[in-house]
Amino acid sequence: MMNIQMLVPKQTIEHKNLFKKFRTLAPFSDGVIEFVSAFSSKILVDQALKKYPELIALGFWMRKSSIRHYKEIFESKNEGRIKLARGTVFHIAPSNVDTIFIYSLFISLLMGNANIVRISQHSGKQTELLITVLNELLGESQFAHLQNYIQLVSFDHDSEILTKLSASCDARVIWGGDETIALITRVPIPPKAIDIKFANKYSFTLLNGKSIAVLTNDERNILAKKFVNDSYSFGQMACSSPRAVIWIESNAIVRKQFWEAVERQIDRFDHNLHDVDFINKLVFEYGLAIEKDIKICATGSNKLSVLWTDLNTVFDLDAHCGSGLFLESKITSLHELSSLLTKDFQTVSYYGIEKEQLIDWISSGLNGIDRLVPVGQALDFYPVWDGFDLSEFLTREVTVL
Amino acid sequence: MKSIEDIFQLDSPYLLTKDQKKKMLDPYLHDLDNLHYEKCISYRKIVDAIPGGRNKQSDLYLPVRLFKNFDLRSISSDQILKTLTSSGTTSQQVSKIYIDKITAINQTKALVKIMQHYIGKNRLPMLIIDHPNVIKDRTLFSARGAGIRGLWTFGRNHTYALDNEMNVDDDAIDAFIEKFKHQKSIIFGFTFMIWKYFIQELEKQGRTIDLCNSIVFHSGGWKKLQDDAVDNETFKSKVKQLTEVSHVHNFYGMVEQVGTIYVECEKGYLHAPIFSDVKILDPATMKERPHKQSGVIAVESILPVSYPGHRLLTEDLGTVMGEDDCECGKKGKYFLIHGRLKKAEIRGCSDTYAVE
Repeated sequence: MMNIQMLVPKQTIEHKNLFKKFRTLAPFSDGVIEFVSAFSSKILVDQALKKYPELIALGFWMRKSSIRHYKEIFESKNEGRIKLARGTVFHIAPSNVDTIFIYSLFISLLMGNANIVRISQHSGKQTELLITVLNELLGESQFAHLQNYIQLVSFDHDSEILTKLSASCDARVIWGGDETIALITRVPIPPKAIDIKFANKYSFTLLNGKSIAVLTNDERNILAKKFVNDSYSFGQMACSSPRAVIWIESNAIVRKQFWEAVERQIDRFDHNLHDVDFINKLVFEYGLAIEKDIKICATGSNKLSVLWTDLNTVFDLDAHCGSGLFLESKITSLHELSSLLTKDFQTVSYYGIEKEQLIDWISSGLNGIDRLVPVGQALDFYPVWDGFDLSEFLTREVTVL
Repeated sequence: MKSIEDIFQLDSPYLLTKDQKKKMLDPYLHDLDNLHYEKCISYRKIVDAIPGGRNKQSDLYLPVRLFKNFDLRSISSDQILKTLTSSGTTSQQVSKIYIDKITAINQTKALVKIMQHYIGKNRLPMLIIDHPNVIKDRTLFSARGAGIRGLWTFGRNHTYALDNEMNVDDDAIDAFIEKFKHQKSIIFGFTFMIWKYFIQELEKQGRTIDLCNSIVFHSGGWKKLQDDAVDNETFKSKVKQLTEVSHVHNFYGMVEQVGTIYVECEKGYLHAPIFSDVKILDPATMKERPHKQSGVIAVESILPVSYPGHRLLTEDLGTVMGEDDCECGKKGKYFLIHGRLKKAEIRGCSDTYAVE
């Protein structure tokens, strides 16, 4: 007896559809675009969801206009090529960046795939809300035909269901880090299927001190607010949350001004930090002080922890515990970072540096870094993630001569 | 470092009032700040890293978890007399506390002072609510074994109440009662052991025993009992009902500060002895919380010479209920503990499937 719970579609009691093959849809089919934008509207008008900025961001991301935009990008990228959906995509969602599974699901759905999403048993309130919205929409007659394309399930992680779903998918999307990937990939997928793996990654912020020094108080507060949003959402534990801050052209005064502005914004942010988080940070800070050369900067409270150190230590982020802790260092040229940036790095959020300058730098050759975005957009989802263009990986190309 | 011998000469560890105690402890703690700064490189690195450095040393409380991750000691390896370890039953890593001769003597003397306050100067017959193997199997039951070894010297005619299969050993108990019925005796065990394997067993068997001259000491936390909704009151009244014992003392202590235990008075509060003090901190600011507000327990002790354990931040929650004015008459702070801090939630996108 398999211990499996169907979450979407709601009215399904049996789960035999999980193992059926369904005909794929065309990429960006009208029915799917309608569904995604209906989902967006529902989220954006729901008063109960207003207090979740991540859900609002999600709602904006899937507005009809943005979907059309992605469609145009997809079409221009693939001009003259024939792209079809892969088939059945099995998504393994992370537990606490609640919105990730929707992005993963909807991009795949927009490509025309049938989808099965394994929801973590540790999911939070937002996942629950999203599931409710999905079920409401799929209950409407105009979207009933999509029921087979959006199936959400929950099951024990050692369950044989994982084996069965893996054996019947055409692509498996694994979110959740190195250990999860190691566990899941032990379970085979068919020889013709592909795995898309989102491993542990770290992110940091690049700040130009000169640009920040000339900001008015209001402007600095706005920057600080964006930085706090990037880093204090999800307890600073998302792959894209900045954990280190690298300064270029800075001095002690501008750094102090910046962190003070950050502290003011933290107090206005629903950071959800608990006693144990503060103690975890102390353990990390003192441990690092024993092992490396650091200075713990004076801050107003433990809600913000800043550790000043050199470039050899600033990316010691393995044991980083989140909860508002930043390693901080300075450079005089971006090229000083180049040799330090391994495959472990995902997002650089930046302020005060020209895009062209960044392009010049990364074009000189880097092993890591998947995206560079202005401060405030670190957590924004984009169909190209961790260097994978999902629209590419979740489709297949047919050659006709 | 001046000798703390004069503190051991005090008649009771609960005599000094707030100001007297501060005046007495502060110079020792200050000496220990200096001593550990000089002798323990890891501790020195932490002090040098914190804002304010040595000027703020007296505000520095080392999280007890650091003793799991690092070897923190202020003595050379040839001075190590013994290494204490925390229970390693669930987590892989154990705390390692390095003890030299002076620290060991300090710990023993302090514990003697504290225990004498409750049991007097003579060794008493001791009934241990555990099984005889518990002190032999060091790997499995180090915390329980260490607790029993710690109190062993206050007893004589040591008798184990459980057999090796954890059943109540009726013959052993009957013999103990028969022999020591009219004398003062000690019953010692871990809180959940006493509850689960002794009290609940007696109740199941419908049996009562008469140990009315005994004093119960128990420790080890309430977590397993809270799951059965058993609080201190229930515990005491059941003990009284089934064994006739009315003197029941819970105590709070930790392997990182052996010797300074916090024993519950007849009013139900844990008391800080003269060798140590408790502070309730708000971890968000590391500022002390006012009395009657709960927070994380920090402990100061003048005993640890061999390791930088004189100012520690625990992961236990507690509330100081007052100072110098407990109805039991003891001076110093009295407090309650509310168990461990809740573990951090799993957040972010790393390894969610793996940890489920």
